[in-house]
Amino acid sequence: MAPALRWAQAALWSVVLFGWLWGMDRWLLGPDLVRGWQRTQQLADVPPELGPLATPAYLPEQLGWPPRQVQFRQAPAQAWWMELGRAEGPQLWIGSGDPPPDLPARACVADGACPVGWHALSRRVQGRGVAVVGTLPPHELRRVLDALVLGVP
Amino acid sequence: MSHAEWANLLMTNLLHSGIALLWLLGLRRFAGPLAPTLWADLLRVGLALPPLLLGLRALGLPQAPLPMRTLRVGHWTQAALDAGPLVVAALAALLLGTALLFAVQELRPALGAWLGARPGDAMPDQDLDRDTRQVLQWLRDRNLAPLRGRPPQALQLPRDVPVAGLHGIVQPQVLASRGLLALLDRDERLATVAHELAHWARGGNLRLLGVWLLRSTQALNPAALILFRALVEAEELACDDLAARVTGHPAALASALLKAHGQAEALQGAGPMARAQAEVLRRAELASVRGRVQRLLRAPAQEVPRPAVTASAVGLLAVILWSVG
Repeated sequence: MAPALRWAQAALWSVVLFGWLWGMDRWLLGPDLVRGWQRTQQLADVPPELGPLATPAYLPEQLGWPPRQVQFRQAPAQAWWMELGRAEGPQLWIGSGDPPPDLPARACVADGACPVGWHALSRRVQGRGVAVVGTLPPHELRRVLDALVLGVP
Repeated sequence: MSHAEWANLLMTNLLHSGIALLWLLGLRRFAGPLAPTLWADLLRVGLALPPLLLGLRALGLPQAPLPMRTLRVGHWTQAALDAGPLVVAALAALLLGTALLFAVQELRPALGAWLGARPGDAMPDQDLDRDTRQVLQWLRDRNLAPLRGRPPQALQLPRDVPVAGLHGIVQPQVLASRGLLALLDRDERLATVAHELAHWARGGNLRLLGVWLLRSTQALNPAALILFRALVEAEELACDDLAARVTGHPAALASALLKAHGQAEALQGAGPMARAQAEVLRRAELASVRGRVQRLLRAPAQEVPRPAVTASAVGLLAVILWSVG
């Protein structure tokens, strides 16, 4: 076999392998999703593929807006959680999907076993399951939950 | 480093070596047959590139842009971890089994050879020395001898087991046992010396040690295990080719191989397990020797490929591996 033909075959095989690996990766694992938890302080950084976030139309005075941080994940399952509140004072997390590992009262959402002083409530907001977890009194937490709307103000 | 970073590092190495192995096998299938020297060089690169790429990345080599990446390592790591305990356990068993094979079949013999095979009792042999100087001259005439480093000495081992080998790193020595020299005629002795000096001309034990150290950083990697074993076989073929070209007498090397490996080593006092293991190894060795002998007798020795050919192939592989990240 002529050397030029052999090297053309080698180059062709390399291109085929490159394409096969690329195609197999996208086919098996999907498009470029953000896998694992990402953290941001800007609501605008949350990928639009996650859908509109639920934001509170009502917040107690001790809690400010915008959130201190937002954590989100696209794969293996979509989820987002935002943390409101200051280092001292009441804590409030609003989110959808599995909670991130560093949510202090993660067990509240996972199996309803809240630590002392923490409460969790959830409801569907325009078809999407949304939960609030925090150290606010239950009636305040209920008010925040009921006032949630989809979309960033 | 966190557990996730270690898992990512391991997955990168597994994917890099797996792809290098796949690419090399495809290359041989579609663009082959490849000269043994080129095949051995490519196997060596396939074994060395994955850890070297990881090192370069640690030093700041940028990764391929995300849309261009063939395999997204973070996604594969996460997918493996999300697949459940059964998949994780199967993967762990595969990796630990590979590490065990490395420890038992490579590390232990290597340490044994390093600690135990001090040829302190080797002695000069006039005929062997003359043949070594003759082959060295042939190598120099063809510009195949390394320009730097001391040329090897030739020494006879006072043992009856028929063995020959290249020993030492700083001061290489061609060792042949008394038992082997008694079996060989002049042409066969020249061919045997040429084969051992071919190892020296191809980098000798220093290069082998470097490759082995890179291989040992990938002890958990099944593809690295396959690549290293294929490399050892390919090196023997490459040195057979070089020896046949230098001496112009491939049949003499074939005959020497048959004489050296036709003698079964007696295992006096060994237990049944040791004898069974020795028999399995002997049969595997015989199968390998049969292939080498047939090749020497049937196929003409292939030319050493031009450096540009090897460099192009290495470049292609490097680009493919760089795209994994």
